[in-house]
Amino acid sequence: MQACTLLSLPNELLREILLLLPPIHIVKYRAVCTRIRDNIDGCSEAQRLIELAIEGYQPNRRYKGAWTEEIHKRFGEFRRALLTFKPASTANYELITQSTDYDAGLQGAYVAPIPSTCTPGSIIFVDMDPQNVSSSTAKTVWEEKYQYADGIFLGYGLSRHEGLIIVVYLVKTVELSNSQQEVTLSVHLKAFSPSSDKIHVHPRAGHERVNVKLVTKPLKDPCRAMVEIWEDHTVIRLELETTSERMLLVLCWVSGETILASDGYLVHIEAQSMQVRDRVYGARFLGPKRILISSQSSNRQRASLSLICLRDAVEEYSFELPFSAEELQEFHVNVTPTVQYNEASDGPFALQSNAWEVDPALNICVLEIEAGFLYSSDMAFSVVIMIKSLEAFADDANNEQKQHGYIPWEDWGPQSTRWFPIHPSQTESLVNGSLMYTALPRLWINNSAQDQFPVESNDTTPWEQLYSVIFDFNPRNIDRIANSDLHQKPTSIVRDAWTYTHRLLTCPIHK
Amino acid sequence: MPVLLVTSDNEQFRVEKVVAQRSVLIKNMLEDVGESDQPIPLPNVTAPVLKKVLEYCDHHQTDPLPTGDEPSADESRKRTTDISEWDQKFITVDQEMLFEIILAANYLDIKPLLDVGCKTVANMIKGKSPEEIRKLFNIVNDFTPEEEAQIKKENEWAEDR
Repeated sequence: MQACTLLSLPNELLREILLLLPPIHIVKYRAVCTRIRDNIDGCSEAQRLIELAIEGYQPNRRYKGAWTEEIHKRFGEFRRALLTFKPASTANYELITQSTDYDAGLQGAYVAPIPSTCTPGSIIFVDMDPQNVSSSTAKTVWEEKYQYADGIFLGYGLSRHEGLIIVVYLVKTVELSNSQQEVTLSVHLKAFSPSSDKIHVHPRAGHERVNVKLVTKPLKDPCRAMVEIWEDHTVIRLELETTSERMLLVLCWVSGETILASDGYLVHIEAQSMQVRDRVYGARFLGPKRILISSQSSNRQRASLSLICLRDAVEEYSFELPFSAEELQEFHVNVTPTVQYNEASDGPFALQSNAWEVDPALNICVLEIEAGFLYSSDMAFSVVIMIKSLEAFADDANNEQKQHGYIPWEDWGPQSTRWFPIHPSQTESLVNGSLMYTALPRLWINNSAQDQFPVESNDTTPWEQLYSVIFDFNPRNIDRIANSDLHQKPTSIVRDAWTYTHRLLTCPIHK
Repeated sequence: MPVLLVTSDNEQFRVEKVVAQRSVLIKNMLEDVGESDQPIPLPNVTAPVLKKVLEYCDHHQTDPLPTGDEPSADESRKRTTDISEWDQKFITVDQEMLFEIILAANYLDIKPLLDVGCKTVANMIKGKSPEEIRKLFNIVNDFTPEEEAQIKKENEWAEDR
């Protein structure tokens, strides 16, 4: 008798098994042999899962269960609910975080602007986790007063996974000498949980607050802080304006599961991972355990991008950008803001937030760098860098040379860069996963595409006519669009998204 | 009252009714024939496999039987790929036995056991490349070079994920 193997199972059982796989694994499984391929191709539910995977939906890594159509449907409902959710008075609130992971738990929080005098305000949290909310119409809202009145408010951050809030205050400054000053910051840790309607000390936090002392050059103005929390890693970036220069200070908390519960974690901060740099333009998370820092290259007087990897030790990779730091006036890096293109809502980009994260569903990372130049104010450029796999950085730990090293531009993982001029008056673009949303002057839009943009008025120059454009850098999407009968070629404008001035434009990857 | 089961290789198993009734197939048969000590033939199951299946039924004999129309909570539980500790240990068998158990559970209509088997296979497939899956299950790559190139092209976007 022949041995019993996977292929001994009847088709119906093979189908049961494949529907237990995450969508992305169905795709790989399909390439095993003809019988499995035909089995998958004959299963409409599997086809639907694959289509959704192509669109970028993928269970969060934390999610243990199998993906289902039902969960996806509910996710869509919750996301729509969040996009249309308005607190009692929108005028006084700001949406500070919003996730596109359907199973990531906390999905949004509205925070009343906190005045620097630290009077009490209110926070409203919206939990969009389909696992936590039993009915698809239910919405969990927390409201709580908070009051820390012993310093100047600098900034706050919120962990979308576990409701850990970190608020940073400047408590006092002490003049040490003409060139040195001691700054004491107070960092408050507060949390809430879906099972409670109160703000309390987070089980992981242990402390309600900690103080951090820094020695720096005398401050000209109070600094500003921005907190970014990614799982058990927290980065506080402080913008310091000193008498002589603008500095950015990055405090990284690298922790195990319980760092915030441990008494020794302040030492941990200071001893292990404090990064103080002059002329840092920006810092933000680029996926778990990775922080992207844009700064001036120390020895070459060029702008540079550095990636700090938080593993056993703090590892740093960097490369230089092809423009001189001297000339740079502004330097922004945009990575995945949390606004999602959503046809269903009337204003897809109406809600914006300060939370940045890389879309975990796509290993494509689109960075957009806006560089404004000092000596030619009408010249500004956007650079889009595509890093196909963030893992390109991660698995080089054994390569001594790459640690703390300079990596040539070409070696920064498979990538593509695109440059295009932007209008000086242009507002910031948005990047989300493989999509980039930006406003472009008619002048830049190529001839074949221009036909689809109506000329608004003959009185204005092409520079003055700005059009909203979405670029899609996902090669699979481009492929699909290119092969469909509806549209002629991948570089053309393919979809009238919501109004005539907003178009989806796909760009082929330029290698 | 014990029930007598006869496997395809003519081995007899005497088991308690409550254990045997974990199998919807056997349960229905017993209901059809009524009170009788006639042996029940199971021509699709061999003795070593039935022994293993009965071990599962014995351990789970007090579980509530799944009803025909499953409530949604049950559905979501089924959908997760988590397997209980005992089941995990139980299903740690060689591949041939694993697939025999799945086939037997399907034939005997023991839904929870079928789920455990399918989840185990799904967990084995998850995260592996096509080549690794072929190696694991001893599957021959029967694509023509053209088909293979086609699939490779189709799957390009999913690489590195």
